[in-house]
Amino acid sequence: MEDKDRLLEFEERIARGEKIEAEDWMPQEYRKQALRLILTHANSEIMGALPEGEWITRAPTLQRKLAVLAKVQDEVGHAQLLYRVAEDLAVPLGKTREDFLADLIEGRAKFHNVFSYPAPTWADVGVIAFFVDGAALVTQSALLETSYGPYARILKRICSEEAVHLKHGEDIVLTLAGGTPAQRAMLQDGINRWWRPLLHFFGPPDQDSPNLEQAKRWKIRIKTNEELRQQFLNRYVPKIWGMGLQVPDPHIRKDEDGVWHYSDPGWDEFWQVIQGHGPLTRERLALRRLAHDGGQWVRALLAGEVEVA
Amino acid sequence: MNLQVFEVFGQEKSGEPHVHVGSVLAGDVDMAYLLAKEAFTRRGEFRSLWVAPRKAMRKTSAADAPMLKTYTDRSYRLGIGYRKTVEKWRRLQEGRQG
Repeated sequence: MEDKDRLLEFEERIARGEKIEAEDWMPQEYRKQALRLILTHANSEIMGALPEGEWITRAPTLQRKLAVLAKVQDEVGHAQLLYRVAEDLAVPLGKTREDFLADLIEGRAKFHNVFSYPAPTWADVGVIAFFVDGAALVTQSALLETSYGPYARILKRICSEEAVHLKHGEDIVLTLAGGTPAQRAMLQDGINRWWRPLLHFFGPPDQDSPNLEQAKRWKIRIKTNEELRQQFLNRYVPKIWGMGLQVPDPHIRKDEDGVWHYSDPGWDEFWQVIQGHGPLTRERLALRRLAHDGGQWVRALLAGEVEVA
Repeated sequence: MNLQVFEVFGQEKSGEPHVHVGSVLAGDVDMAYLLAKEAFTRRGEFRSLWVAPRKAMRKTSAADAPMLKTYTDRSYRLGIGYRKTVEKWRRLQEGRQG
């Protein structure tokens, strides 16, 4: 079949709501865009484990320690599942998990902006688990409808676990919100620190998102950056107000049509961060390299390359 | 590395089928089983797991997908093809009464 006919048939399948599987014919551009999306997700899961990993030893109670430990294990587990999905998609491109991990460590791969920021207090752990995971869940829930079948299937598992992380974060945040004035102040500081990165999380305004239109046409992505940001604001601004805390934006409001208006967060910092120049990008990647190099002997053992005496 | 893909199937409850849940990359079937356990049962989701090397499996490809379609009327294989029995019973009983 000519590629033109195949493309036509492919787009008809998408229009019928069929899911595309790894072995199916797909346009090269579909493969690249789906792969980029899945790898950004995978990289973000593995990088997202790092700021929280720093808090395992410092969590205030044994129960919290167990919960943070479990969350970190979940995030790394999600990365494993996602790299596996990415590997099958990348077969024709000749790329493997080793390449993906190397790309990440060498700074050639993208991951979400939020994982380049410091988490200096326990409130940050709560804000990350409640608001950052909440933002991720908004994005990932929309992707449950993605046309790439293997990604959609694995997202079901990921979303259900992320929903637990969110409850855990909500519990930390509510404990602080109902605590001493010092604890409430710590929480407000955390929200202030994360507000701009959270708005950035969903990506630039839609007109500055070059791949969005094609990705939506092929149903790789379902919603635009701004649609997701609006959904997040609608869900989380009332929660901040409900705790009697402030949204660090004097102009935040919802109009009669249900549209949220917010101050332009400015996008220079966003572009800096995702190009590898975030406040802690370098340190976090160094930590990732340490873990990767330190685990080399384990991977060799798993691969059966080392004889156990 | 000497790794290959293993497909993972999990059974949620006794008596139910094992359903495909994803895949893992491993050096052998025992390691695949261990990795599947770590990846898919952190919350006790499954009571049983099966792992199988992908290369041992025959899957439907795009080329042979048409073989799985039916092209002629197969209603004689389905209950729906015998719905006329209701009408036949009715007529038979009417005939016996009259």
